[in-house]
Amino acid sequence: MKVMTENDPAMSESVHDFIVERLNIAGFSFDTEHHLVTADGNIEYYFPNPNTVTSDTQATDLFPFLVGIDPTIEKEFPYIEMPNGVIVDAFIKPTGIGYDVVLIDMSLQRDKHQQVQQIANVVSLQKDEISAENEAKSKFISTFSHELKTPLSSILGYSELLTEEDNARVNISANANAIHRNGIYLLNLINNVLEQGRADIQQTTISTSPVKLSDLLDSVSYLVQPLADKKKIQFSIHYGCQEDFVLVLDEQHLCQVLVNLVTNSIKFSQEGFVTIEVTYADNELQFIVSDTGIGIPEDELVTIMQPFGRAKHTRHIEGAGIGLSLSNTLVTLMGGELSIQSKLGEGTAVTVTVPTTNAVIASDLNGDAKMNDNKQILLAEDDEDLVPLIAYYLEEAGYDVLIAMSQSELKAELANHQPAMILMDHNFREADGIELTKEVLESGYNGKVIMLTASSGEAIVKQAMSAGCSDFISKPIDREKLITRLEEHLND
Amino acid sequence: MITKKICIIGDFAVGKTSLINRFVDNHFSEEYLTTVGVKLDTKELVTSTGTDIKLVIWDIAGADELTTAKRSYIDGASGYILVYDISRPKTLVSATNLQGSVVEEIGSVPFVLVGNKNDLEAKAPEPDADLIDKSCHQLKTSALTGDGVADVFQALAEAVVAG
Repeated sequence: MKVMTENDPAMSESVHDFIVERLNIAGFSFDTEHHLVTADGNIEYYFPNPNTVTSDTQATDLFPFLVGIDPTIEKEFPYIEMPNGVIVDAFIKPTGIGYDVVLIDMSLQRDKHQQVQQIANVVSLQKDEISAENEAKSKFISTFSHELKTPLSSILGYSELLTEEDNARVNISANANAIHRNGIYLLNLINNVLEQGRADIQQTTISTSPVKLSDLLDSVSYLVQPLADKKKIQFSIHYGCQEDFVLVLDEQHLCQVLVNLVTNSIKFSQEGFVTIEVTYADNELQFIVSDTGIGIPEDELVTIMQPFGRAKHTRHIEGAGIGLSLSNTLVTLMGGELSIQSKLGEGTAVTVTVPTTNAVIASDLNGDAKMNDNKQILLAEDDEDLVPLIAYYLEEAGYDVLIAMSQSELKAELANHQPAMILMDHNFREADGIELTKEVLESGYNGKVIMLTASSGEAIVKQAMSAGCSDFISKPIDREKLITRLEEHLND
Repeated sequence: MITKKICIIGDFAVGKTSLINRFVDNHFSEEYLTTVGVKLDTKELVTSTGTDIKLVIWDIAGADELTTAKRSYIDGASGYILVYDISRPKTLVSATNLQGSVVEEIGSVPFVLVGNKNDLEAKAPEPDADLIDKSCHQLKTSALTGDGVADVFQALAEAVVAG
């Protein structure tokens, strides 16, 4: 469409038309009152409706980019995407009796430019993400190293005192307690980091089995009581249901959650008490961990639920900042909920609710239990420090312990004895504990084999069970759990 | 009705186009498509004093500095929205630098300081008190959820009309 044409006499009409068509050029002349005077070029490309372009049309109605612009000054706007989607380079040229607006279609050029810019921006964003991840890793390593070194320093220091020959002035019991307490702290920290790693790659699996409620809470108490004692904080458990209820739960993960919550409560309390209140109703188990600690400001409740998130006012207190977020993840995986109520300076209450099955009284289950007379256990373990410790635990519990520290010793012991159970190290010297288990069972041993393993992967547990193991016990060995589990299996 | 030009500026991928799309069309796209040059949109509002105002919104391609071409884009703006991404701290640094360049180019006009992507974890610190003082409003938004988006444009329109 040509509204009015003022052809350059030096240019043939065909050349003019060719350029106009090829570049979709259009020119518009306005007077000083911003009314359209002439329009030339491929106008219909920009304004398909001819009624849009009339002599009554105001400049800013056609070209919103003129709003606020002084057209008496020459201007150039590259790559303007108009409201109708057309992309132009726009030129504004004063004429003395008004001004011209010239448009050149830049859609193709802009698309190419955009492709290049898009790639550049995406690469830059990815680089930033990698850089942020590296920074987070460095921060984690730095925090974790510090968290590891603190209890390790105590363990090394106190154990060195115990090895001194002239230790008459050394309080052996207090030092051993300090070593134990710091060991527990370290164990919980490592468990949290491993579990966080598994959660990050979505490899956490929930594994439920019947658990006596008091056994679960005794395990929690065993792990946290030394920390409470050290800070002179009163720790107690209040049962709002029967202690000997047996419920189907993921004992390991629930224990980890409760230990994390109680440890946090102790850590962030200077005095007072920390309690766990447990109730059971309608196939739902609820724990409320309450403290009289420093509390959390409301606006930081979201932050502390993030991995490595710490409330600002707690950053002077040691901690990796993963316990709470991990606990929340684990509770969610169990199909439960975790919520926090807190008041700054007054304390915090964390409520954990997990679904479970109908509660059964433990004594009802134990009615038919048979006592096994064979109290002989073969300990197949090659760690020279661990063997006397486990043997001591077993002998103190009334078991007759045989020891095999190599494959040949294992075979020799089995040739002469028929123990009720073998405690088999997963990484046994000269052999794989899983392969050895298969061999032993295939050779006719008819007792039970329980795998001892420091590995945390689910795959190893599955391999052990499919090799014929009756159970597995994780290292470090918890004395009470070890004895309870052995009794359960021997009386099964 | 009065018509005013406003610009939206900030580093790339802070969500400038998404804020406009949410405000103008109430639409959000997860796909990131970088803006090259400038994209124009219009939207009419009524201020709290009853003034009808048509905003011509210049969505200027993101960058950490105001290049020559971008300097021409902000010419004649009555106000601007200065956007950073709360999950990328360096975009707040860019916003602070851009604000200084805009003042050099067009002088002091009202601007609203916007921390976008409020649905993500905040990693950027709070802006400097100096930048907050210069702005007529400071708001956190999420183009994804729409949270705070209309308030940004309304606040700037009020400030532009108030002069």
